[in-house]
Amino acid sequence: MKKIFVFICVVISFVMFAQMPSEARKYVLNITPAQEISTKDESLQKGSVVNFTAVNDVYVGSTLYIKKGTPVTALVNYVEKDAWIGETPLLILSYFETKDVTGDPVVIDYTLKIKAKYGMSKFSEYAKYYAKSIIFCANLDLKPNDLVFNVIFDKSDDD
Amino acid sequence: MKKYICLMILVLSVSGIVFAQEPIPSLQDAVLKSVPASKLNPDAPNSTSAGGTNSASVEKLLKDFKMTPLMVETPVMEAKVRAVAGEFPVKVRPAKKISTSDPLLKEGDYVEFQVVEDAMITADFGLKKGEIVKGLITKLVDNGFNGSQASIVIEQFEIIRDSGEKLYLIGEIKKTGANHDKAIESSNYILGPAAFWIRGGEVHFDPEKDVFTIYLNNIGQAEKL
Repeated sequence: MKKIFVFICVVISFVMFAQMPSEARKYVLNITPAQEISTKDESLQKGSVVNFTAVNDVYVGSTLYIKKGTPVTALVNYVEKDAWIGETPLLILSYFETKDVTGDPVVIDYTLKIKAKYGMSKFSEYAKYYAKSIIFCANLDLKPNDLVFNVIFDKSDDD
Repeated sequence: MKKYICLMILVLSVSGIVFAQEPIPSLQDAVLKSVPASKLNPDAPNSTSAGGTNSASVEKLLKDFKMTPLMVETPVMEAKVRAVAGEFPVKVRPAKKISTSDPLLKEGDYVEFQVVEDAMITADFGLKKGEIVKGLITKLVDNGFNGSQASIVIEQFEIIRDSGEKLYLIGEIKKTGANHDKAIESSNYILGPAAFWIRGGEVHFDPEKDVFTIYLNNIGQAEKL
């Protein structure tokens, strides 16, 4: 009986130790569009897949995890188009998929909101955007390799 | 079998009683224990002795205590708990102005902070004044109409030295802009629904004013690149 009691205690301790979460850190995957992304036509709908490319190598600790140039796909979750006077068209992407250096699939559950004003820093750019949105409705129009977006994901070193 | 079951019940009961009877000290008690008696005002009418309680002085101390954004409820207790856990405070200020009004600032960007004063745990381990600490923006919400304020969360601080040593720091900096409630309320009387157009405040970090506390673990959490 004593042995059973000791055995149960050891098993409980082992399970508790195994279930202790290892420290996960946040890493950033920089991506850029690999195709033209536009809300002008009906091509972009909820559920569409958009292609991106990894801009930089991603290291987890000192190990290379995702290689530069790896294709990344994202799922369109929401599209808001034809924004008028100062409103901004919005594209929400989620569920990013890519591959690590060994070729295993990597799924990132992150929500990326892209607005048309993204990347504008000059007054002239804003003025042009607002003037255009008054006459025509503003839409999102991204060219390949135009802008860089950040995708944050959690990863622990021992995964 | 019965013997072991009884033993387990006994252990659980005793531990339950011990934890249940553990008193939770109030903030006032924590301040009283942490502040030397000499700093309390002996001339106050309700003071007892040099080491005794002095509620007026404690209230004044509590009022004067400037809370950093990290130290939310009980700063003294938090500092004590962190010290026991081997975490040492490091004061940092933004290296340059950070604002959510910057259209190029986005989630996943790193922002730089500067160590305000030396935080050496041992003679050769710690952070020196002026060292640059990088923090990751993990959440950034833009401001919007009807007083919807911007907010930002910066965490996962790290420092990479020329030698390739990488130190991780613990802590989180959260800041929210003003919601302009009063402006909306007062404008509602004059403008009515037009008050909807009042936007919430942006978040600004000023290198001259803002000082935050993050923590360095004495275990090091360091890695060599």
